[in-house]
Amino acid sequence: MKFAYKNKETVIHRLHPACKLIWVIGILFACIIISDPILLLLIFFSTVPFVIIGKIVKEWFSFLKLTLWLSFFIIVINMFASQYGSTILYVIPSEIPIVGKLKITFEALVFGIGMSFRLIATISAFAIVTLTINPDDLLQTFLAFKLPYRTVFTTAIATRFMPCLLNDVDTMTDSLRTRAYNFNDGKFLQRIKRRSVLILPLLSNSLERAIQSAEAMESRAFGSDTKRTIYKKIETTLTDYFFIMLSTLFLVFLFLMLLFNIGSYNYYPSLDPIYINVSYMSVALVLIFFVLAPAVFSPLKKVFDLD
Amino acid sequence: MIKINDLTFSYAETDKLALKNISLKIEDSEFVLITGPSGCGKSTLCRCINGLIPSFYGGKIHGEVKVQDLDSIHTPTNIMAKKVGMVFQDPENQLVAMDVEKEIAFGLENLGFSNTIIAKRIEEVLDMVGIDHLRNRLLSTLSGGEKQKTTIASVLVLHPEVLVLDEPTSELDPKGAEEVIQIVQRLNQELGLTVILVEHRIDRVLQSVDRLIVMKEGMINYDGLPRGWVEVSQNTSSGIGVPPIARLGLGLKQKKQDARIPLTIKEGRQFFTPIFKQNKWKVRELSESHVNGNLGKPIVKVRKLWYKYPDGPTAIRDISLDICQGEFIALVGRNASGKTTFAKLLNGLLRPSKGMITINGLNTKNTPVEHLAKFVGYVFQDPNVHLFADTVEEEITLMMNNLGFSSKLIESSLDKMLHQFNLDHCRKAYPRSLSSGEKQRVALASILAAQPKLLILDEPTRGLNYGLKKNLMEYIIEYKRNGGSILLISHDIELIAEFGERVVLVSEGKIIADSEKHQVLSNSLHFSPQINRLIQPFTKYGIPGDLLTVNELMRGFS
Repeated sequence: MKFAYKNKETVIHRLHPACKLIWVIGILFACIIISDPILLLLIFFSTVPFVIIGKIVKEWFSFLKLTLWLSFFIIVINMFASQYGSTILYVIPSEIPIVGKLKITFEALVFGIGMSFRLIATISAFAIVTLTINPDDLLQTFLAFKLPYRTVFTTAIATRFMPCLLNDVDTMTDSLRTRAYNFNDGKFLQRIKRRSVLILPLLSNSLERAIQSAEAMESRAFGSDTKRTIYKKIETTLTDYFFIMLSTLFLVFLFLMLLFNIGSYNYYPSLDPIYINVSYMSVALVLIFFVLAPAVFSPLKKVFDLD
Repeated sequence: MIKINDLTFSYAETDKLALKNISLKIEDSEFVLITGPSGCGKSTLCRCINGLIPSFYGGKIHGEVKVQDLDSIHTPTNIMAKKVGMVFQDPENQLVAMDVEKEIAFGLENLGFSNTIIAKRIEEVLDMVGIDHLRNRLLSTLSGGEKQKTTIASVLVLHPEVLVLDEPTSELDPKGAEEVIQIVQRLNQELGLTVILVEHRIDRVLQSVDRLIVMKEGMINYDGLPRGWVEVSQNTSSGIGVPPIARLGLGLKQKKQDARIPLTIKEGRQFFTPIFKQNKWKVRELSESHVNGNLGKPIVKVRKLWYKYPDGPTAIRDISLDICQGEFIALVGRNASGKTTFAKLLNGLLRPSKGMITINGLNTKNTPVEHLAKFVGYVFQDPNVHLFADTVEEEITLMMNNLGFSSKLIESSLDKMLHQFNLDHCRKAYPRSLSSGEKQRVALASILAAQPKLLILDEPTRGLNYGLKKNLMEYIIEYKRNGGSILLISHDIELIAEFGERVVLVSEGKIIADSEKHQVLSNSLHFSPQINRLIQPFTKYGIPGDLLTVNELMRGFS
């Protein structure tokens, strides 16, 4: 399974889940408030060391491959859909009813690229977190934030069934194709309709699975009145607190950026100039520092935490 | 002790009784095997013991179920869990955690045990079940058998007094199944745990159980020693098979030989030595069935076939073979030896990496799956993945419609199929609501209605009891009689010994043996049927060493 967590004993895997969670929230937040394409690209590049130290290059790349495709579409669609911008690169000669003549502008192209940097940086960070946090630990972390156990647990179980569901889709598709059922017959809408035959059987399988799962859990005393204990609770060491603090500082820094309107960038009507001066450089460096910090300091865990 | 007194139960929204006046006492440390045709109420009975019925399912219940001093009917399952551990069919749906240790800890966490006790108990059960080496593994990396062993451990950790297992091996390959059964036997013998096992492959466990309960239509049909059942079974049509070795005992007894009925090969050799010694063997007449002379022209040609999964292993290595019209080929081999990959190459779901396959003259490399479907029918192991339509009728006509058959042909074909597969009574029923035997028949009918030239069946008998298996084989043989070819992928050696003709043995993607069944299946430790293993020491008395079935052996007796 390409997208599933694998137990690799790297320093990135051993970072406290809370640290990684706050970090990924930070990146998401950063990608929302920052629109400067260079800063976005820098954020993306700063996530790459996590991938290498965490030995998840192959899995991470599968996530990214999908995103690159999506980015390509974003850029193309934005080029045609966005009619703002003053530097016209090309005007489509034939007129389209209502819309008129479509023009492609340089600003729209750069805007599309900027957006895809935003997407790629976010997905990269989420991929890193998904691939390096053990779902059991994630569950514990959510519980530590005082979320109700049953809700958290049910969600966790539901995500566990995802691979089973995907597997069902594959087998059922194969089964229908071997019965001469052509999924690609007809136009787009018809194709979607032809795919919909899978929905009910999939639902029925999932329900059966849910019942079986509930039975098995009940038979192992799930939902008994006693207060639940947690085996192998994640221990939070001093070093962990240091990392959690680092990620929290990252959030604080981002908040300041938002407050002082740093990192915003106007694409339209014409691109803002970017002055690479001392203040710009220092903002970029602090940003890179915070994104990179957990990876850079992660070997500390090996030094200070036994086991 | 488990005491069940006059237990009657029907599920919610139906008046049909799933259990009728069941009374039963199970002593401590007893090993009880419960069996019976599908829908006979065995799973329902299990769920009454740990309280899932009625507390989880609802329904109407009368009578009394007591496990030690606990009343199962009025005690919630999560409390019963301390007394009764329950293991279900599909390990996949029973697992909740990411790794083995966490999985085992789940029950104890629910009951609020401290970390010290949990750690100690985990150590205990890891040893007990023999999965210490798996303790830090992620569950997603385990095989089916290993997963099922983990679920057994995760139930045992609560220190139950009774272990109930509801068909724990039906989703496993033979090796996994064997391992699970061995563990259950050990738990009963060494720890004295009371075990209630629901199982359809009774030949594996018959010798080690203390007691056999056979159910039929919600009632207990037989309750006693396993050997006793073998003797009465010949007079009943219970749909439950007895092991070939016991059938041989029965056969010999009928011939007025003073035979005892063995349950294992070891017993068989002890009991039958004098009989085999005394008997004069007829000149064998077997050879005529060995050579199948009247085969048609080849419809499938496989030449120097290789297949490598993208980013994966090479699954098929240099396979060449022909499948002729009217031929019955059984494909056997260990797990992951390339059997299913080969089948998927035949119907175009996978395309050859190297080499060529032609089906009825069409090269599979450039013919869409949907076109090949006209010639190759594929029955998946789980009938549920075949069922998409709202009625049985629509399910059976689906493929014919896709292939553009005329409405007249569809009509007549549908009637024929419904009749032939004994589905007339449920033609308007929702296919997924049928019994497992009926579902299997609908799946098969939905494929055979389009009259493919080659029928591929992937493990069609896994999880089926003897009666259903036999029915299924009858349908398949009928199809072959009408000129169809069959490729059967199966681990069920006894079935292949009885019904197969040509056997292809594959290992690591290569063909190791490809010949008539007597040549491939005889004198091998793993791939020989029971009777063949039994007779090996007796070849010195003139018994041919390649006999495979009870009938073949019986024919040789004078």
